[in-house]
Amino acid sequence: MVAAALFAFCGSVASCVRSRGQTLTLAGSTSVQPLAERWADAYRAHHPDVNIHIQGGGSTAGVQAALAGAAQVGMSSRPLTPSERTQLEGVLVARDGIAIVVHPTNPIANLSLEDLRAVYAGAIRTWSRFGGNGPITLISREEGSGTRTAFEALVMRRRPLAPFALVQDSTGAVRQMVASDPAAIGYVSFGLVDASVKAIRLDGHVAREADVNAGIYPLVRPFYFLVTPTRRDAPAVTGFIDWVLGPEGRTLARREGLLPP
Amino acid sequence: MSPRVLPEKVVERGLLLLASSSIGVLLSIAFFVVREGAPLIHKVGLAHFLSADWHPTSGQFGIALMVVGSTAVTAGALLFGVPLGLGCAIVLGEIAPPRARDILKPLIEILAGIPSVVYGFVGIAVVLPWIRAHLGGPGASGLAASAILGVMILPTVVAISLDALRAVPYTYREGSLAMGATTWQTIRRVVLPAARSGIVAAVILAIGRAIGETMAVVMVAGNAVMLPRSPLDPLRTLTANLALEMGYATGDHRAALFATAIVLFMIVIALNALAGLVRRRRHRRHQVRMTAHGWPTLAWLTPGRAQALAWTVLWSFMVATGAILAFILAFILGHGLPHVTPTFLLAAPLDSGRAGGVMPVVVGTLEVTLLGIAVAAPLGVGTAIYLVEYTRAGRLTGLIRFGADCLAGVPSIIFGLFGFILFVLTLGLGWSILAGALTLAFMTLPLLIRTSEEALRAVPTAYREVSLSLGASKWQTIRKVVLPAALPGIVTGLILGVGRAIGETAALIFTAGSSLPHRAPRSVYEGTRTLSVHFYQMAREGLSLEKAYATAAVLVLAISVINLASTLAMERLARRNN
Repeated sequence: MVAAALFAFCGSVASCVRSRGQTLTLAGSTSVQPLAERWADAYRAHHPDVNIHIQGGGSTAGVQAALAGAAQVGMSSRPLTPSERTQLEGVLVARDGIAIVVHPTNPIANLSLEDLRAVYAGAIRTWSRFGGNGPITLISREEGSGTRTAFEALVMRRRPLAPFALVQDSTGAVRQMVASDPAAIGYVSFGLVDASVKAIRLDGHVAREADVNAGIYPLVRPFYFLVTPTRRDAPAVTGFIDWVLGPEGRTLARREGLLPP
Repeated sequence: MSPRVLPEKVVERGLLLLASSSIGVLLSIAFFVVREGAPLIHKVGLAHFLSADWHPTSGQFGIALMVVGSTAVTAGALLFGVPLGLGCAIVLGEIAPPRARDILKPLIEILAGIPSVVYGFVGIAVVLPWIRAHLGGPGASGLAASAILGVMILPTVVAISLDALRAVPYTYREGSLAMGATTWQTIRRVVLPAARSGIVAAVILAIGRAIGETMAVVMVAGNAVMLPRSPLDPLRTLTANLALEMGYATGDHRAALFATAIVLFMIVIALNALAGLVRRRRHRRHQVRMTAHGWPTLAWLTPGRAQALAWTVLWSFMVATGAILAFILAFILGHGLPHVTPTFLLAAPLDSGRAGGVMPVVVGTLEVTLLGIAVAAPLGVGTAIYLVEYTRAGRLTGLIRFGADCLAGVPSIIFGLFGFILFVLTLGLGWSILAGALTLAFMTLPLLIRTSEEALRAVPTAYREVSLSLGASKWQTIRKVVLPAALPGIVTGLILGVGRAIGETAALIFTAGSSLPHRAPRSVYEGTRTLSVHFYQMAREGLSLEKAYATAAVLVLAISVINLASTLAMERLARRNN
């Protein structure tokens, strides 16, 4: 009873407070979060009156928040499900190349798509096949994540992933694992590749914009902003999304290692 | 009607209201989990749900391998944690001089306060590379998770076994010693058998803690959904499955994760029921059988030598525990303190946290924690008072206590999702300090009810009788006599709650939010990132190792200071009461 009264009170206060100044909340995919933070920082410099919050929690939380109105904009790194598509509009804001990374000491520099598939299917289990040595430690993302969904569609093509692959729940965690294990191979956002890991070529190609646009480098997945049709036209939302899709937003995305839409 | 009658009734009604609100909170969480998860079990059938195929994106929802994973890791954790913990408890309770005990016990409590993300991080940085280099395999494995969890359950084992040892009447020891037994013989043949049920309860509660742990396990277990054939194989636990996949799961996949939570819930309920049964046996008369030696006697093992041997083993366990703590503290502080500069403490984070400091994060952490405890404390303490002072120890009391114990074992991500749906979305609070604090209040409520109840029960009945016989009313007695006497215990519970709140990650990402703050929050309706969440983001996303270590150092120092301060405050309070 006390709890119920408390909730009612919170609700009424919250509805009053909701109408405070210009606040824009984005929420969802932890993969989009770092990029969105960059965008928000730069946007804030032009619009000091707009207060932008970037919340994580995963793509599903982003969808729920955008539907309930807790966030004006959801962020997703996976395609919308059919039922979600009836309620939300997905605006493609960037594309994320997926890089295949190994430990810096690993002599491997290139893998064919077929070999990569065989490695992740568990058919090839040692580096000796490619001129290295020792067993291969596979590192993957969890089922349902945008990166894994893209990897399965583009690389595995219906071949199941080996069950013994280690699973990490963020692209940063995959990089951390690969960086600390000389036998490891993993897949991460291209923007995250740094000196701690080595990106290898896929069929001789890297995730360059030109190669991706020409369709030569296949490993790319989309980043979406999700808005309800009614909220799409709110000035704060339109202003930010248009800026993100404009020259400054695109430049920033490129600098973060991503590809503009 | 005398003027005193009405307030008495008002007080009782008020307390009843608090108690029923607490029950409402406990029930609503249980209801939430069942509502989200049960339809899936019904839809796919129990046989499917208990099968070994987990491919949620292709409609396979079998959790058997995760049940195996949880069981294996928990068994491993017991192998590490129980001997060490029991050894430490015997040293602290029976062997160590009081001086040493006063120093050692708070140190072990610090282990309990270290956030699980920090344990996970130490695991990644130290344990995994060591296993990879010396034992082989990928490092991330059941062994790594067991070792880390073993350390994490240690404080639980120590605290509850110590209580059990203390509950053994002194006359037992005196009787045994008077008959010429050595101290070790007395411990082994009299004290330990008499304390057995309490020690078993400690082990069972430690199992609950190990099964419910999430973040540290996700970070070190490797999380492959496979049948582990050796301790060096990776595995996935039930809680890890929840935490890993909840972020992106939709539809049936999401429901299956909630169904996983129902299974966890049932395991924890079963364990608590078992612990309760075992504990109840403690109240029966102790029957200590002084039978002839159970083990073959070795001629050279004289009682004196046996004692020397036992002392060596027990003290080495104590030293090992101390060494583990010292290592963790040295590792975090050694890497972190050099980067804890005045700027770090006073500036706002910049560039996604790669530069700048943590000031707004510290302020946000304090606000969320204190507000959460401020909401939970009246509910928890009020409920405890009602249970202890106004009801007979009957079924209702037992049921509430049982419910509270069960909720204490629910993984925090479940509380996070509950808070997300209720406070953030439905009540429209958004990601805010208020939503985070209310979620924390729900999470810490079971702990507060439990500790306050224990504290109130420890107040001798004679105190109440004397006060009542002097003509004081019931509420006067409670307020002026019982509460002051129980205060140290209640405050300890509150401080444990603060420690749990500061170390929390998963529940707060969904409710207080993980948005990078640019200034200190100005109202409770603004979101905030807490120190643990900030550390998790820094370390996990690999944004800045330097800032991650510095954040961890601030976190560990804060928790150590809170622990030590509370120990000192307790001692002073206890002395004053005497």
